[in-house]
Amino acid sequence: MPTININGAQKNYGVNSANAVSDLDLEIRDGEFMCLLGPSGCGKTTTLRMIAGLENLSGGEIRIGDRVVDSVNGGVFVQPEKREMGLVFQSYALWPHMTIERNTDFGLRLRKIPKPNARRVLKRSCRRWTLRNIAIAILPSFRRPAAACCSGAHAGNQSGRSVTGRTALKPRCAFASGNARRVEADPQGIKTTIVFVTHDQWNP
Amino acid sequence: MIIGIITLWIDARLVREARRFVTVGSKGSMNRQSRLGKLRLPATLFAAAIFVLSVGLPLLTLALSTVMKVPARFTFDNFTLDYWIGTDLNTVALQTGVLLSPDLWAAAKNTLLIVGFASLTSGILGLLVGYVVIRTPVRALSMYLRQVTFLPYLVPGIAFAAAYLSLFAVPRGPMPALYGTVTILILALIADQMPYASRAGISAMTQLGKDPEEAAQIVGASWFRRMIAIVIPIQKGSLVTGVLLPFISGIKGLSLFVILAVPSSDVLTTYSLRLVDYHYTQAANAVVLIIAAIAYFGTLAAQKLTKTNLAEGLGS
Repeated sequence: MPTININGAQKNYGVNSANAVSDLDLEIRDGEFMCLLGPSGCGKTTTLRMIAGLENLSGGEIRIGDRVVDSVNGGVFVQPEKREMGLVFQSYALWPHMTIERNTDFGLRLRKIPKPNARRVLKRSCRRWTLRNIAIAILPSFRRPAAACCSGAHAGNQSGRSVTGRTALKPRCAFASGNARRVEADPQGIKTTIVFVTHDQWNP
Repeated sequence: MIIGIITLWIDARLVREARRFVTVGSKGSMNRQSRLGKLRLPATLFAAAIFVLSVGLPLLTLALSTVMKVPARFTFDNFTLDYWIGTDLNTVALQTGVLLSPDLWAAAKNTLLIVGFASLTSGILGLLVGYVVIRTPVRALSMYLRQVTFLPYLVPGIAFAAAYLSLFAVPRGPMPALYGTVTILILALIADQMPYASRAGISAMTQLGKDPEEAAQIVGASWFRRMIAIVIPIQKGSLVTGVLLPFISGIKGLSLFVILAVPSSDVLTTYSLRLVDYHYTQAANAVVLIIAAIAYFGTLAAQKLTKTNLAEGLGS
């Protein structure tokens, strides 16, 4: 559970365009639940994406623990897939062609975690994110394509599934963007550093 | 060709002006049916009439021409199946019907092999081109790839084949002389089919937002893994389109093969052409019918196997 350090972060898209983020210094300490609040377009999501590695910095440096993950001067950029983080997307970004089961255990399969272990992790994760009713293999929807479950009545639970999938790996840090309410349902449950982004003070 | 380039330039301008939207899921569009009411029967008849006139009649004419000794004489003794399955015919070459001639089967095998391999390759390349065109931050690269994959569309097939011929007829560096090999046919065909495949790939990738891929990246999937597990499955329909369109146009294409194929690498179209040269019109037409059948049933089989629809894949 590391500390995230952002030093003098700059982000612009092209040399002549305005900065999306400028001169940002931020320390998010170990195990903190940090909430970034601000109006649309103020750079919250950009910051989040830079920590996750989906955007690279135009200037400055980001450190996670002792590891420099992005530094313009140092010429360092660690690919997002190597940063061991979790990110819940604003759009949930479930994979429409996979079943809910595959959506949630995608990362575990990727890491070739043995099946019994993976199931245990997944069950615990499902329970934490109130997907209790999706006890594996009991509810048929668990094995249905995500696209079918994402529409209509089930939409409310999408963020739950999304969070489940992204935290099943016990990420070193977890982030949430937008209206992923599930995250604040039980922030103490996962002992990790959390950055949460929202533009809505009253209904995060 | 100059006219073609001007058209392409206008197209590029228009594309640049058009604002594009991105859909996150794989469902780009939704079909809504509406009742036609009173016009149902006339509309059905109209559609059926167009189909019969433009597809049914020509095919029927072609089929009839393969079973008649003298065209357009409808007497009973004028009909024969000799051109299909006859044996011991009193002709100089091709003394059996086409279905019994080993040449036909060799040509059919060649066709499926060459066109199948080339269209699969160009389909996958097309999707990759689409991926790079949409995702690359380097605009110049995106424009360049767009144009260069479309270029073969502007060059007449014959000229294209001639260019390939002079390029590969002699050994160049590590490349051996390729004239007369199947390799040169496949290479030329892949390049020739890239316009279709890359268009299918680009339009497909325009529809797919970054999110599904980034989500996979966050949980630790490498680029290759993301392609195999996320991008290609979501784009399955478009990939099938990108394979099938080249397959169909390749299987009935003649201009490339007529220059690059030699008797040992004969394909169905060149075989048919050879039969025309011998003035075996009926047999040549029979081969053309076989080509149409392969293209049709090949498409049907691919759609059934992958549960996709060519028309839908093209639209979205």
